[in-house]
Amino acid sequence: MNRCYLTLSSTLVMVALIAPIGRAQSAEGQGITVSGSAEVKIKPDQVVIGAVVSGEAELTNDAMVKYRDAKKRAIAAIEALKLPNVKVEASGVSVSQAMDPNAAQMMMQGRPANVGKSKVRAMENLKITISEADKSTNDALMDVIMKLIDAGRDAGLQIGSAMPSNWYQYQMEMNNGGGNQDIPQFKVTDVAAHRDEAYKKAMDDAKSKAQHLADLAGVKLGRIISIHASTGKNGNANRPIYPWMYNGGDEPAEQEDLTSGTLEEIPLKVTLSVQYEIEK
Amino acid sequence: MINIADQDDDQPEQHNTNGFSVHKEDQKTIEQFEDFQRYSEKKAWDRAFKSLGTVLDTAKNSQWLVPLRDGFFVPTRQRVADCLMSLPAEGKAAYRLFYDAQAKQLWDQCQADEAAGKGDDLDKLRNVVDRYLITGVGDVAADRLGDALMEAGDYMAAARIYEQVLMARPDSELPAVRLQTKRAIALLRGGYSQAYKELAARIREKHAGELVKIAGKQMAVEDFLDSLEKSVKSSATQPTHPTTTPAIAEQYPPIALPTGDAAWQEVFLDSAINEQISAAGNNMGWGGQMTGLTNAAPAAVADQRRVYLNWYGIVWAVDIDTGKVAWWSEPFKALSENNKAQMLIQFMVDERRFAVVLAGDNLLTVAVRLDRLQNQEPFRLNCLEAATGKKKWSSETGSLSGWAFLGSPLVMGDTIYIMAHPRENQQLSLLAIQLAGGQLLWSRELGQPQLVNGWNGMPIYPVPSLKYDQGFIYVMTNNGATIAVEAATHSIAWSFSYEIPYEPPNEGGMMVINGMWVRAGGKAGMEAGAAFLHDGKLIFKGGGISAMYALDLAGPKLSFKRPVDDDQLLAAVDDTGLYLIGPYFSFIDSQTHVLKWAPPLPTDGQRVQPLRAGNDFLVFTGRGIYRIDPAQQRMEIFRGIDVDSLGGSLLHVGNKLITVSNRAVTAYVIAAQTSAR
Repeated sequence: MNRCYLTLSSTLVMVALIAPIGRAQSAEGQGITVSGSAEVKIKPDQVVIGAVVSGEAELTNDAMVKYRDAKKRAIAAIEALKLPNVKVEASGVSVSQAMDPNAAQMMMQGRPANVGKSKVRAMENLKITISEADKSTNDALMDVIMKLIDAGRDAGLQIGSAMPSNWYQYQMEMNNGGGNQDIPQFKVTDVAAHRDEAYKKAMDDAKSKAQHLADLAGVKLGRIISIHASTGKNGNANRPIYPWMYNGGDEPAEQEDLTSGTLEEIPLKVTLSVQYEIEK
Repeated sequence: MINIADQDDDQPEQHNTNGFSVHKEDQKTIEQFEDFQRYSEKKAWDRAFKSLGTVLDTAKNSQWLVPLRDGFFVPTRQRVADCLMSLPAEGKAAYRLFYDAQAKQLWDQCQADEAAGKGDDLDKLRNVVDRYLITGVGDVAADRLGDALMEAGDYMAAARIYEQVLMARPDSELPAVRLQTKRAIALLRGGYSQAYKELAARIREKHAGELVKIAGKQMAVEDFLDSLEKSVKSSATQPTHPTTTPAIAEQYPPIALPTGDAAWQEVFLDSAINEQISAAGNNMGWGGQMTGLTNAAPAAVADQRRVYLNWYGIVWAVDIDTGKVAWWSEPFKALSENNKAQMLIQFMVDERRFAVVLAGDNLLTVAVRLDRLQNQEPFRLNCLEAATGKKKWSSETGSLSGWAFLGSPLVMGDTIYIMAHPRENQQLSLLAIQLAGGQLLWSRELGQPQLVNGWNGMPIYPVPSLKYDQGFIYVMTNNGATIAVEAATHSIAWSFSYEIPYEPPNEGGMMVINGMWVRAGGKAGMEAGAAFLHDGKLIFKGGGISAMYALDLAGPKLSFKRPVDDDQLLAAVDDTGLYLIGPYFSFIDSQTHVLKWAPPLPTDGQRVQPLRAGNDFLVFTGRGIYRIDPAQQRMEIFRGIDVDSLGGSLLHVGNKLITVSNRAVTAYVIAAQTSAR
């Protein structure tokens, strides 16, 4: 057993040197480990536009009337467009103390600020969703998006992040990781189906590489011992996949977020690290 | 007649309260009123009257004010009159004993003057009434004063005087029905319809069948009231304050939104000038951030032929039919040449202070000469020939040369009323100026505004607005006080103080981020205040103030105060509602003061001024012209062609709707059925 290990190790090191197309190494001297990768490009099927509807006033009732009318008007304006596959979802209203942003910034600097009278702010995030976006041409989809943004802004919705009012404010936002001015987010909703396709291609790629290495080494490729997967837009969501694929159990939670700020096909990259046994 | 406020050694006491400070009597004088109250309660009449006598003798200026109630201040003499009227019968009897002789002497003098053909001297009559209303001759003197005020068209003051006689002199031999009827006439002529209705009902009930003799005619009071109402309705001369409010559609014809392309557009802030102004700001480094120079729409006004504009002192006229420039004071590029843009920034020239107003064939402008900014040139009042732009007169010379002008002028007949401060100090005064030649008729010093200094240390003045009604000029200082000045006597009738936000000194409009001063953002440019007269009430909101106020002018008394957003502009008041524009349009029920509807509105420009169109409002924003229907809670938008602008004001002339933005003047043809107003 020990001898076999040494022999195989030497062989694999040599193969790795002469076969740069694939990464092969021994895993504790028990097989062949290769990396298989695949990328599928998916047209986003959903567009999400975030918006904020709010009302602020000294009198709570005024704040609620403003919030109510702003929401009512925004939804009516969007519905009036009669666009198919467009849905507006509200996240629920929150009521909080409001503060003048200028006064807040002055106070943060330790300077006297005109805080004014206490105000109440009623606020709710809205999510405007266009579904089946993949069935439209890009031009048609952008046309719908522009209509929604214009209708929302005409109705007084804050769409996207609020614009800074001066250079310093802008600088602070950028320093704090802000500055993303993308308004629509293009998403792939059914990642699982596309990931399976990518996995299959990656497995094929891995098997091909492993078989090639085995052939070069003059050994027979055995069963898979372990698999590690990395998926996502950049293929960097690393997680063990073997127990699920080969031994059953719970499917790993879907955490991948295939989202882009630009209207383009979003790549889903899968990288598998597959360890094969060498049959004796 | 020139009446410059007293400039004696005794400086008026300035109360360092927040906001505009009117001239108030010193604390000792105010305490005399408290002494009067205390001695009156003890029936120590001699001491009580002595206290009032001390007030009248020692008061520094009869125009200086003493507190009354609810934020109101009245002139000392008015307060004295109120104190005398509040005396019980025993006190009034004592007062007559002390002062009947003096009163009769003064009254005889008034009568002698009249007999000599000198006419009524309002000041003398007032003096008798203020001091001696409760004496034997006080009632007839007051009756005469009321008549004189009626003749002068000062109906509200007349109504007040008749009411004072009724209250202070129930023992008067003057028939109560006659005084009440005169009071009713004053209210009806003055247009205080609701107050008239209530009084007429009381007269019909209390004095049914009594005869009244007015203007030589004697008849039953009910018949007289009937004929009075008919005569007012059929009168060709409309009172200043309409007796019956015309339907909104009559006052403000409905205006359809345009449907087609613009008839013409005249761009004054073209890309070349815009770039030059931006470059000028950039060359100033940090100071360049302090400008919103290209954000302000010019002040604009129109007659049937031309639109007149004032853009940082460049004044020009545009032909409404063709859109061509009829005349200009200088080309637009003058603003971007010879460092003028930099000087405007450096000297913090306040874009709110440029104004343009039509007065017949005259065009009045308030502007600063850009070529003299370095000499601390003040804002000047100029009178131009509207047809040609030729200068008729200017405050650069003559009796007005020492004044710096603030806000839009108000023209009543041949008189211009406008606010100003002397170049050498900050005291604000109301000026009356002859329209024809620009002569100063009189000035009335009103008090000291609360100023803040901008980033370069220059003071930032409030921009007041003026209203005229029933012989009174109402001055909205937009700085914590609204002041009523009687035009005939140019005396202060009362002042109302309200709360304004505290502004740290030297930080007006500025804020600090990362240790650097920057221009504060976030406000929608709604700094202008506005006021409306409706049903005997002055309803106003100061710029940047988070409340609106309604003052019942018949009191005066505070009718209501209602919190609103500080960045909103009061746009209109009618029987149905109170309307404000800003980041939200607000429709507030006029009876309950409950906010009924408040949709958001993308207003982000300066000088955004709505246009009432029937029951609707048109608002020109950076996203187009909004037509807002508060009754149906609907909005529609006409995008138009000036989409690169921040919005601005609207003018309606003939079949054209004209938008004035921070970059262009644009005319659209509107449906023919909407007529010019």
